Amino acid sequence: MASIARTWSAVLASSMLVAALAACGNNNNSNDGNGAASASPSASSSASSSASPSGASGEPVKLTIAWWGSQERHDATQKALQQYTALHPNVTFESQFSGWDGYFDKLAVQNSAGNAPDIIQMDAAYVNDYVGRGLLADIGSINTADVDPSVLASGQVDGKLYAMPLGVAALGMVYDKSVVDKLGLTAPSFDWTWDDYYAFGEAAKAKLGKDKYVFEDQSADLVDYTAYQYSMGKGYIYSEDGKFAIDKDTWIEYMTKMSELRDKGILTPADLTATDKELDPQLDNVVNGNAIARHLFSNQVTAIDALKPDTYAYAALPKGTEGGGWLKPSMFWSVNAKSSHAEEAKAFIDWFINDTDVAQTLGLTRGTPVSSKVVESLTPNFSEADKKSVAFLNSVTPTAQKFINDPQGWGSFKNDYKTIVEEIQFKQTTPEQAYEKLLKKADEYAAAAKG
Amino acid sequence: MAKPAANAADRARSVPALSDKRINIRTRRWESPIAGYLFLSPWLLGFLLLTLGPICMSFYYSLTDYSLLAAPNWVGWDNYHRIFMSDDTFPKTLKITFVFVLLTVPLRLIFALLIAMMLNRNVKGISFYRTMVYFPSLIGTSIAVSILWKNIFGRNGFINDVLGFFGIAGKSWIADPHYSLYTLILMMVWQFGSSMIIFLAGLKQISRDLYEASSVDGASKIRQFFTITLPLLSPIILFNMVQTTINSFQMFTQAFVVTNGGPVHSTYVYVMYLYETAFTKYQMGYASALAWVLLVLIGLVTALLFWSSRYWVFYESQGGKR
Repeated sequence: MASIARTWSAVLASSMLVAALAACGNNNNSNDGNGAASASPSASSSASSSASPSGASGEPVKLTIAWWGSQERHDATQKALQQYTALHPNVTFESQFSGWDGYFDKLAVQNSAGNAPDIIQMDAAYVNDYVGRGLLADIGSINTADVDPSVLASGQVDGKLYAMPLGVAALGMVYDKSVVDKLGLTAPSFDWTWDDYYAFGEAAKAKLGKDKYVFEDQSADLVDYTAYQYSMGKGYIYSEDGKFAIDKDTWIEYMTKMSELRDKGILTPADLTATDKELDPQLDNVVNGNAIARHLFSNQVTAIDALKPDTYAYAALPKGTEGGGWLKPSMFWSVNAKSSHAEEAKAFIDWFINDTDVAQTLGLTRGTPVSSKVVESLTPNFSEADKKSVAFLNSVTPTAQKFINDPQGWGSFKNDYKTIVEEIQFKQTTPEQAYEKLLKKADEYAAAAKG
Repeated sequence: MAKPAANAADRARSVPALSDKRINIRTRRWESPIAGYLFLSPWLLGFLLLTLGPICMSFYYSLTDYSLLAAPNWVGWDNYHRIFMSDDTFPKTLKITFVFVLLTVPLRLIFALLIAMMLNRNVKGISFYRTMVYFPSLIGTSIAVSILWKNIFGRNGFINDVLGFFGIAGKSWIADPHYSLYTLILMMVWQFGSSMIIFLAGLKQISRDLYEASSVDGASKIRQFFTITLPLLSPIILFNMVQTTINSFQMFTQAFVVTNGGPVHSTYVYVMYLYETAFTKYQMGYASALAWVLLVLIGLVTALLFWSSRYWVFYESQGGKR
């Protein structure tokens, strides 16, 4: 009898341990800096309701603002916030900044807890998800006279502006110029073709020897295949109405070719690829010298240049029948739909994108600014890296493909895609089998997006 | 294990003495339970609000479709149905988790017991050694150690440097799907400290007389280990086993930081799947259901361990009856 009681008490105790885990989602992620806020949502809303009826400019307002990025962007943004507070002493900021990893996890938790920041840096992959759920405010009143309408369109859903693009970046490639020059290779260019790409791979591999590779294997990154399908004239990977549109033959052809390059040692081997971390001083395979080239967005030029100055040069993604790269709004500012300081938040964003003084502070930390006036005012002070970044952008622009935000509900499809392609990389499956798996996953996503 | 029991006994002895003194204060007898609960209240509140509340909520969410960004939507038992009927990832991740648990638990217990026995002797500076050996466990599940692990077992890591010294060409252990799970198992085994401390306490409880008596009778060290140490330690082995099993089922930090579930999902343990379902796919309802399935699973495994214990655990207090 006693042992049965003991059994049950132990089961109960262990249950509690797991249950504590089951519950961790509710209190784990939201507590850096916001624990207090989550405990008293009622207090803050009552305080703001007494303050906001007038929305008067003199009232002290505290805006919470969140972004992801590198140290460079953190520094520049915080300086910009100070500048704004100097101009508008009643507005102060509470900033929550981090790297990309976990940023959207935390944001989702904050949204569910009702304490999301007033001003939110948004990514193109999530704009449709967030707008579809009514979490972002219409910010159409912001002055966008100097912003290219096609760029602005990326932040619009059904004709209304919900996300203000902050910068544009072009997708292209980076290569280690010092190595290419040393080996006497024909450098990749802004109008090279897939044939040039393969020829460069063969030639470089012949001179590099066994333990060095030519291209970082990014075939598991949906971005790379997207560019390939575009370049082959097969259009975007999602159809107009947000359905899966990866062309079977093109995909298998691409994956087969990549496997061939991997076998030849032109692409990095699977285990090396698995530990690659873009722009990490030790783990980025191009930065640490394991490979020569990889894809890169033009807004990352300053970051990679800072890691190894004067080492890198840039190229477009290879062309097929069409260009492969595109211009992507690097990120957006959005205003929380539930924010009680929406007007102040919009005023801040307006200043952030249009003011030429703050533009000096921010530079190109969020890509090439969207306002043509701002770019004009910045040009005289560009650093070498900035010039390269802008030249990169301008070189890709003529052949750039249309950028389309991920359809609602497909934001994390790229993760499943990656796992499936990794199986090819580790030779656990063939491209044909992998395509079947991809289709199956896509069906799951389609079903979930509908539901 | 034995310590709390001893304390309770002490307390039981001291209660009459205390109440004698306070007998006139305690005329209003109803006061005492309230005071008791008041003293308990910090824990009780924490338990109700931070543990029991969320547990109940998670059960409710497990019956809903909840994206975190929008209000939950009642779907009944659909999530559970999906887990068992149409989820391909569930059996895969379960298999990985079981391999992990089945290898980690025995290895860690054996390792912890060996070290505990080594540290259970009177050598000069033994407490220093104990501290040093326990040290990794203090920082055990932290992110920093996981990152350290990632570097040690990486392509250019320490392990390969050592292998290189002996002329063996290493590889990136964490990036090879054949080895990645084993590096994590090794990491978990390496964090043996807490089990070790408990074993050490257990070893100290075993009366020296038994060893002396048996050596007089000519028993070898090995025989002493199997006939004295192991049986008398078995309640503690059971405790450690249950504890380690539960911990291993819940392994997350290591898989998340060192390998992020990869490569090719080779370290995609259950909680990793749970986490991704919740926080990258925002399927909170489904993730809650997964958590409850894990809860029941751990409950069953634990019950099994306790049931099996009647065949191998020896309780001195029961006069050696099994």
